[in-house]
Amino acid sequence: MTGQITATQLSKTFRKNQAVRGVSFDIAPGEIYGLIGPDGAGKTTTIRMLAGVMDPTRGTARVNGLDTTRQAEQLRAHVGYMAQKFSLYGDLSVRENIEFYADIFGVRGKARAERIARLLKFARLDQFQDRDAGVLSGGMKKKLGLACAFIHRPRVLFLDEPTNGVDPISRREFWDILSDLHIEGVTIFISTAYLDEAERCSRVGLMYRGEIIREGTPIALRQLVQGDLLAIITPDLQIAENVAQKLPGIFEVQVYGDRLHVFVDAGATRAREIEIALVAAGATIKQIRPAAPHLQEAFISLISHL
Amino acid sequence: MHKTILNLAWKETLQLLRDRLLLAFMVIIPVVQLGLIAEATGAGIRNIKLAVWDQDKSAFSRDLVTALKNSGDFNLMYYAQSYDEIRALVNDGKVGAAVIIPPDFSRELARTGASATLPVIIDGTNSIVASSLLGAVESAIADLTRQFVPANAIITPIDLKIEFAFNATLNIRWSTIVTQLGFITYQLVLVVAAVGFVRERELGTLEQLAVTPISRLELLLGKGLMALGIGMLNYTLLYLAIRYGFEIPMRGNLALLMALGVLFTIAEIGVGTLLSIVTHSQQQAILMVFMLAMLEVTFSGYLVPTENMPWFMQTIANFSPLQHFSAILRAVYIKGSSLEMLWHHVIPLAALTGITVGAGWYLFNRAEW
Repeated sequence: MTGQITATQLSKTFRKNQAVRGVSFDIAPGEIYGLIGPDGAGKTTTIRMLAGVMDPTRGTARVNGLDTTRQAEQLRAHVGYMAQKFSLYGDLSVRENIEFYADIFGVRGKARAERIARLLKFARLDQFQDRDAGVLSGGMKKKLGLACAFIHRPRVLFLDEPTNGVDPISRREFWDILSDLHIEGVTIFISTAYLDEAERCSRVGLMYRGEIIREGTPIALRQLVQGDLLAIITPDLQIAENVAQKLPGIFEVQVYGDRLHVFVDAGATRAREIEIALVAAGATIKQIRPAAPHLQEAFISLISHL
Repeated sequence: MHKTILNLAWKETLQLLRDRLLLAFMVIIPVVQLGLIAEATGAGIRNIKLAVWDQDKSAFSRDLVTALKNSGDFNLMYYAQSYDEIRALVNDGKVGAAVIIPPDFSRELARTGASATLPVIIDGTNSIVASSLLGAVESAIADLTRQFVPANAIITPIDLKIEFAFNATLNIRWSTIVTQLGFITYQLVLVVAAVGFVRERELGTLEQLAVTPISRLELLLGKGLMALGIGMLNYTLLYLAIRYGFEIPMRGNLALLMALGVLFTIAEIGVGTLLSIVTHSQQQAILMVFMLAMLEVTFSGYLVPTENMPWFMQTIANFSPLQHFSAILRAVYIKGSSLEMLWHHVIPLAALTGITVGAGWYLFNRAEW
């Protein structure tokens, strides 16, 4: 295998709990690979094994051509890792945190000051450099974490749910920074529970109960969904859901806020049938139209058919 | 490698300087503890109830009793008429000290070149009170002696024959204070070392360190160096306070005292590191430190001399670095013992250091990040 990150039958068992069950992938240099899946799917364990924090029970992984178990020490110079939890020193300032990581990564001399200044600017933290890391906002903490993980300019970044619990604006800013890194050619392996973020990845793996059940580009994954998607906007969601589920030609019904997403075998003919049935059941229909499935629907549809 | 260790130690120092609670723990505890002990064992105790059995009934013996009375430390309660009476007064706790003036005391004293024996019974139930009683008797007698003995006299004419009721091997004030040198350093180093890793684990920063080029050995050395620095700084300051603040003369070799202090500190860093690796939170680690400290203080011979303990407790005491170091401190500081006289404590201490550090290193290598 020639990829930047390759895994072969990677598995991890904690006591009797098999957290990761034989995961394999091959990620090319410069890709943004998104690992998506519900909590407890094994995303964190997978990332921890790839980053060399944890040894796999079975299987192997190579990052940058180096074995993550046997060559873990050499690997560290080429890999940046950001854990899900804020894991910097809250009692040290922004600058002191970056300086500490610069020091232990051996970034010294002239390069040190220059790189720290660049990263502070890059992470948009230059105005906050003397603030204690512990009192930063959630979004700023994540950016600081990213800056510290990138201090040694690794070729590969492992980010474990970096935007979890961060406000939408900070999330977008964080992704803008990731895009800049992507342009620089950094390979990014990111896990996320936000499916809109997965849409920004070059490739996505759907992880469920320790396995990668589907893999592909976001577009390809969306197309895996059976049939057509109809969006129905109605104030009578409960009635509409019950009625729609029993109609012929319906694969699946999902509720999203004020609307119903219905997967059907043929959009054009079923839309009419559904409308008639719903009206007959006493539901008011504001709108019924074909929709393009997002990863969210695709994902829920895929795992519910397992 | 050296640089990484120093970087880590520097980071630890920065964090320490921000940690008000730990700083307070480092500064206030030693000051308060040393001050309290010194106060409790010092001349702070006044109005000690005293019984006198004057068999001499000479002008000099009356002077002696007056001197004790005027010293301000004693409250003369009883003139006893027999040894049994004296004994009963001490045993019943009615007096804290009793002075028995022998029949021929002033005649003995008058003979040039001889000294007279003055038996003193001190209630030794509480070693701290007893040592201050002893100090008070000693100073009152010394004051009196100075009045009639030329300054260049070779022998001390009054030979105090002290008997401690209830507690034959009494820790005197000096040894109590000197022992604090070990105790306070012990507490501090153990706490600093015990939170060292578990704190980073709790905060998740240990996992972050796992992906840096820093090795486990460097991590262990960096943290250890920091704890050693704090421990030895404290040890040195306490030494200066005891030596010059409390003016307790140091009879032994200072380099030896310092070197063994380093050995002891490393042993305790090993113990603290072990605790830090096996626990899951700082809270657990601190609780473990408390439990361990209670045991070690008990076994150290501070409350009850180790030699007076049952054999199985003595056996356990051999595994306490604090027990060995307390004995070493008393021997080097107060008696001026040399290394050759201390092998029976230094070798076990060195062995314990090896074991704790080795076990810490072994477990740390096997621990998950």
